[in-house]
Amino acid sequence: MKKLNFLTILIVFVFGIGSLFSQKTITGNVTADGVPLPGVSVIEQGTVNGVNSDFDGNYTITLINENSSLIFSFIGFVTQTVSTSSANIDIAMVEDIAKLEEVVVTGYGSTTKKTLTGAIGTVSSEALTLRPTQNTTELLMGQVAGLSTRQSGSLPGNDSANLSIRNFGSPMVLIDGVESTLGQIDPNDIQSISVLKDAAATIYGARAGNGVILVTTKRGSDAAEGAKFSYHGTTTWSALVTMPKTVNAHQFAELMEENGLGAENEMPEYLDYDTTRKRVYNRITGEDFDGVDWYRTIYKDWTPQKQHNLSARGRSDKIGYFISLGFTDTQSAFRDADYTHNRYNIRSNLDAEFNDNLSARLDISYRQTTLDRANFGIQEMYNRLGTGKPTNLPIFPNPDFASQTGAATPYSPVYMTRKSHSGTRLDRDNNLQASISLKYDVPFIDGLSATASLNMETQTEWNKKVQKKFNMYTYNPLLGEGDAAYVFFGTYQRDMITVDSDRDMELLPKLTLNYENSWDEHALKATFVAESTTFERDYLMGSRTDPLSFEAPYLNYSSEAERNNAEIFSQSARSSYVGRVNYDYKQKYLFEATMRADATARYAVEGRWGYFPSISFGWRISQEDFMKDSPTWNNLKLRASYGLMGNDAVSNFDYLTGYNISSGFYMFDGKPFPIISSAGLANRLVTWETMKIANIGIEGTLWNGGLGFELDVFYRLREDILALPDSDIPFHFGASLPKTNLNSRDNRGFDLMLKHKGKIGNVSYNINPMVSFSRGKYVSWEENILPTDGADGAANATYNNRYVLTGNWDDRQWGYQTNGFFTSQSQIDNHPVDIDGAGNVTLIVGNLIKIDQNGDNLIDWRDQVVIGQGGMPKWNYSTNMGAKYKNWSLDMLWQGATGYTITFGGKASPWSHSGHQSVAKSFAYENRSLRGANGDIEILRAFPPTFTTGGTPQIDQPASDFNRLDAMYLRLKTISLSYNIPKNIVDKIGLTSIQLYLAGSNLLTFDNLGVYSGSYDPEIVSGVGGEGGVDRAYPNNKTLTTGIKIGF
Amino acid sequence: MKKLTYLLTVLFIFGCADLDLSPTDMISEEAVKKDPRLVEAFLTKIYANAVFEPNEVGSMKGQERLTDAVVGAEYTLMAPWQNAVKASYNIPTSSGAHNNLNRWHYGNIRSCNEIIDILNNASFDPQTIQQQIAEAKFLRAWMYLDMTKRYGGMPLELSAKSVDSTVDELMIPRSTLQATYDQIISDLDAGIADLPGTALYGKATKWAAYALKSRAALYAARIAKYHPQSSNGLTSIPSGSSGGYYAMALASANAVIDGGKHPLHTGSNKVTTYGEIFYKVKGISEVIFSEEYNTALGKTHAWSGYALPDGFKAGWGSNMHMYLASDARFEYQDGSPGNKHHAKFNNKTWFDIEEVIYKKDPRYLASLFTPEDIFQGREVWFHDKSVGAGTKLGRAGNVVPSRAPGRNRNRGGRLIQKRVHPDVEFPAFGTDDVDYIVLRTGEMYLNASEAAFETGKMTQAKGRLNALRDRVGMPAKTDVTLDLIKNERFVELYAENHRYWDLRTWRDAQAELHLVTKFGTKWYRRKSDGMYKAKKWKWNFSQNTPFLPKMYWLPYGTNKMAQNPNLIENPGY
Repeated sequence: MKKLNFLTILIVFVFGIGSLFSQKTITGNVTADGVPLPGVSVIEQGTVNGVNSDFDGNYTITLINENSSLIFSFIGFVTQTVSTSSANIDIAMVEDIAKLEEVVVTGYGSTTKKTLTGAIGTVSSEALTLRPTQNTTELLMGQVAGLSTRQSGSLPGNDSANLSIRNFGSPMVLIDGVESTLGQIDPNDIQSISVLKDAAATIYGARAGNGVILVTTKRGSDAAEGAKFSYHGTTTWSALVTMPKTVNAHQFAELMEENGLGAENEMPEYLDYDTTRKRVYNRITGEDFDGVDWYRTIYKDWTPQKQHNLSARGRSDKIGYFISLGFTDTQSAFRDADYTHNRYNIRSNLDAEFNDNLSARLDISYRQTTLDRANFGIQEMYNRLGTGKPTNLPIFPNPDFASQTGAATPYSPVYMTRKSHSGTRLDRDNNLQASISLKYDVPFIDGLSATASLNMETQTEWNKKVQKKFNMYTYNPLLGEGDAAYVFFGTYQRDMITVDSDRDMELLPKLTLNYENSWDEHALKATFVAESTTFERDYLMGSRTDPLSFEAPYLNYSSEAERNNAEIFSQSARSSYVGRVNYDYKQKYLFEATMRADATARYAVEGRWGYFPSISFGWRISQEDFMKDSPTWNNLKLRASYGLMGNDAVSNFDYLTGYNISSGFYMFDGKPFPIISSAGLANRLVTWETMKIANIGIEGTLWNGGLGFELDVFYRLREDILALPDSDIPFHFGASLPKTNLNSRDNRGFDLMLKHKGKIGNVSYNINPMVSFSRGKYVSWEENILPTDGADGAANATYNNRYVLTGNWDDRQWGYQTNGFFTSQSQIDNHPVDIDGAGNVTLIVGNLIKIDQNGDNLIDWRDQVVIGQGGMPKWNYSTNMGAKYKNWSLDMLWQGATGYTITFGGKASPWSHSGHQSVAKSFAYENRSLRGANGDIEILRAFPPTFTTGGTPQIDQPASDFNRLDAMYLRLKTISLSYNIPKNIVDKIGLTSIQLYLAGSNLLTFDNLGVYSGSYDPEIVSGVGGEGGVDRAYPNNKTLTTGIKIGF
Repeated sequence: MKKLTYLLTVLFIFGCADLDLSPTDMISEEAVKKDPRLVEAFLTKIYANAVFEPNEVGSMKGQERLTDAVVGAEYTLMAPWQNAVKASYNIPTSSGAHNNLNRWHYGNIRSCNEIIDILNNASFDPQTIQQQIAEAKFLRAWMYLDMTKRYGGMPLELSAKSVDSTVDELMIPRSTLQATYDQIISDLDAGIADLPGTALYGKATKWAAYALKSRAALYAARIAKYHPQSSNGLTSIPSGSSGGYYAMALASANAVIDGGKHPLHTGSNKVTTYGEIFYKVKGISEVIFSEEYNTALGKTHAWSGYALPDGFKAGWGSNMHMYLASDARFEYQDGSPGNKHHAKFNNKTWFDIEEVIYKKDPRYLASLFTPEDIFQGREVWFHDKSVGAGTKLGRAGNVVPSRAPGRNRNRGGRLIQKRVHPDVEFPAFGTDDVDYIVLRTGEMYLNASEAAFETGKMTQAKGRLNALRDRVGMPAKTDVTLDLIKNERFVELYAENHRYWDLRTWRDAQAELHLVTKFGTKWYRRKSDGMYKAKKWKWNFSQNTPFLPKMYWLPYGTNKMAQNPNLIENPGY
């Protein structure tokens, strides 16, 4: 009850003195472990009358009512209520082992851990500033059971951590009650984070179906603590976790010879290949040419990143404040460093007391992020980088001539990443959010308060691309010395300037009524909220080609011929009413019910309003008489909840019929003619998805913290998923039936968290493992299920078994089971099963042997079986560990996942030896089989021999188990060692505290990827369509950080 | 209590937002019914989605557009991973055909039907109504033909059905192949009757309807004559009706030829005359119907980006390589056989390319880049190596590199030039705006010749064939045979995406495509005198292309079958 606490103190401080009705004075002393405890709040029950214990633990309070009780509370200690039977009350505070008094932020309010009835995980501010990240989302990794984050690349400025509660999908994130994103908030500003995993999220109604994450920022502190300034600075060096190793020039040439493409065709003219020595050599100098690894050309080893945060927090008289300034600067691992991201965060959270009944808050936050980079598409650059041949130089002896990959198409990944060649791109994102709220404690109804607030947010994204055309060359010293060796090869893009801006404006007025009262052993809290949102977005872009000069890179001075512009305007709105009642009896039997009504402009009047109720119970078993004095149990609580939520981001104006104006056109006689198309059939009843979630939890603490546990079991049913009810109409109908709320699927699983705290000698330690599991089924799906009676029954049953989703797990991957590959032509000729549907005439040595599951000697879809799981792990596990010795502390976070499948397809596949697409990886070279003179395999290894893969249907198209792996990994996410400089030294230099720390992230990984390990990151891969993340995207970072936190 | 009521009132005000918003890009149905300009905009959508250039679905710039020519073995592509090459190796199964070969136009056909409904109830100018209905029918015919040539008889949707239709109304069976062709022909007859003779460039005319009818009728006639009968009529047309369809094909082709609106394009330089048809398009008399592109407006494709040889390209390039077997079909200018010098491709015999290459049919020279072809004033190099010593310059007088750039030399030895605009140097990839010819009079002469031959009108068959040869200065044939007509069709329409469908309708595909070993040519140049030697080399991308009998008709696929129990799948799937 921290908030209430300091408020109370303040009110007492200001007005308590004036309480002239006092009749009785109580004095006493407060201790903990026999030592005086200052700052303990002493409040007369049922009033706002209260004081704090002084430096020596002494207090004096004058009572308003003669026979009331006193409540003693202090953070980290169990709250005690004592009747005022004597005039002197000494009290010994007991440490709150089970953290029962910890404040937990819930939707539209807060409560204590003690009275919580929902499955809410919390993350404290300490856990968030342990290591620096450019993206705050990453900090949630491994902190809450059931919350999974997967970091999919560390590209500066990219919010690439994938966040999901219980594998439900993207959760709703609110920062101080306003829907927002997590990635770019300064972690130093965060007080706490709550993760609402069950019906506790219901209070957010139509958007809460995937769970809710509540972020609360810091506010002014207790007046007694004085003004606190703190500085937190870090310097981080980051490097890439994985780096694919490609073949060298000799190996590359060897592969090209083996697959019949011819080594000499795949290298520049001044090189040649000696087939007997299997070496590539320079024809001019005669020296061997080992080649170049393009990945290592484009990346540098270590990249710096800096973060600073300065904040002030305190309270003076009637004003409480938290002000903070944060700055982060991140560079990419691209060697030319033309890719940087920085961010400024400014926040000011103010609280003011006007009088007895009226208080106000004014929160302002401003954020500016700037991405300053060379002008290229990340995806495209990586596609090209993979084709950089080891026989071709990425940087020529004269670096003014841009290289190209050696592929047919003129692409230069190295020069694309240079501003000097590809041009510049500046993405600037400004976000200003201001909210003001007035709280009025209604004087004529005890316990009732009303708060009116208005939140405004405006976000402006402004992007400018100055795109430059540049020429690429081939290098051939046979043609002569100097510039004569460079031959024009092609150009990349054209000169063009594009400016676009995207402006959002959101307005959120809110009125809250709170009522809180208790009598005898009953406590009642009620909350009503009314709020609405209006949102407008206006996108504007303009572009022109061929600027007169890049000295003046502005639209005005560019070509008149190809002017282009566009505007897109959209708006949305929402109205909501929220109600909640909490009731507890003896703080033992807890009950909560909520109700929310939501309306959105996305749907027609018929489907516009939705009602989302929830109910939850708690039973604090440890408060029952039979357990109350148990030496073993500090706490035991049973919780149950059930709620109905929604997911409304599924449809926008789908209820309207008519014609859409297309942005496209068709040409007649040299002129563009506009296009309209039918919007299709409409359904006025379209509405949101509904989610029903049930959760049963049990939590307890034993042996004074020796063991703590929290176990939640859940089931979520997601209904009314929009689908096209097309199973009733054939494809030749020509239109889709309107989207209808038809489908349903579910998730089930559990989250388990254990805690252990102990002390060995002078070392105190804690260990906090957690594991979660979630898996889903299609409950009912709009699809064709064929009748299995009648003549076609058996055939239809086969179809249903393969294609029908209803009733099946949602993470099944279908494909062919294989039994190795053909090693000789005679094996193909004698193979009894028709694999290609043409009597195997198209098969060649190295093609996969697909297993004929149904025994009809023909491979077709009927032979497909489940060969893999989904791409998202079903199991997530992690452990936080910490140890403290004197001023030293060591913390570690291990995190891992399993229950998912990685497909090593595309550029990651074992067949990637073609001369035209990506260059083969070393593991593919080392594991390939080799043919003999007659074309049959002579040396058998794990992978087929090289051949040009195109058109080989066995490999290329249908999925098989050959390149699929059920993955698992365990990663040392974070390790940090910190040292607090002793108080006496700090005092001497006039500071309050200094903490130094050294931290690392992603330093160690264990996985089961076998030959792919090290080249591919188990955390990334499945997120990128199974294509092998590092080939397609910027890899994850590992980091080393030095940090300092100074308090003064 | 009063104060509480007051509070609650305030509470509800806070919860209020204006929820009656609407999107900004919609037009009501009523407006469309009243305004011919909006109907036209709806029609324009059908044009935009009709896929006139085969395979341009998906990405406007994708290699998908090359599929028909690759599966028809007109040429192949630089690299085997391109989807068009994959499609050529693919053996379709009951799961469905390769994506590049699938074409389902029912969404757009429904739009045609909706337009016809709107127009039947419209109140504006009757002539506009009639003309727009005919346009919708022409487009509907185009799309049904595009499907029926793949899948055989189609379920015929001729009205936009209501969602409330009964199951029987919805679950219609496939019509017979004959009924499908007859429906196409009937829509085209409406086009012939009601479309104007002259329209905006790019829009359908009476002549386009005639030309498409000629093509559809010819396909129907060939299927009737050459395909075996199927019991259900879904993949065959009664053989007795072939004569009627040939007559129809002949009459429609002759209507275009004799109509005078679209005469053959002629000129004195035979090579450039033929070549410019395909890169000028607009303003060329024999172009009947085409799709227009425009770089400034951003409607572009990547044909030249794929086609331009190494040394002339700024983007991709050197992608479409001709097979040796295709080279053999192009005669020499004196009428001698196209393969007469192939025996010299033995890696030993030195020869003069002026004889071996530059005496070929002007259509060959206009359609292809060949060794030392002069393009944009410079030679296109193909030679794998320069042999010996010497300084003999190239055909355009330039110094000869020791070997040609990689892309030109390590595949077929001849690259496709047709449609490449010679005036655009180093175009950025994907910025090509040469229009695509959908229908031209050249095809009509071949349709007429074949249909006349099949119906015994030998004089006319010969006349139409020789008229086409005469336009490019090739000597007249004294006798015509079906093989000769087929060969002329290959030569005249090379790389225009006809071949695959001709092979299928003639039922020649198995003989011409199944496991046929393909060859390319490697060239070597002698430095002393510029003479060449060559070798043919097997070039199959490790695998053979299959064409099984069942592939004459592509499968509907299991999933489509599951949607309508009344559908019957094509045999073999």
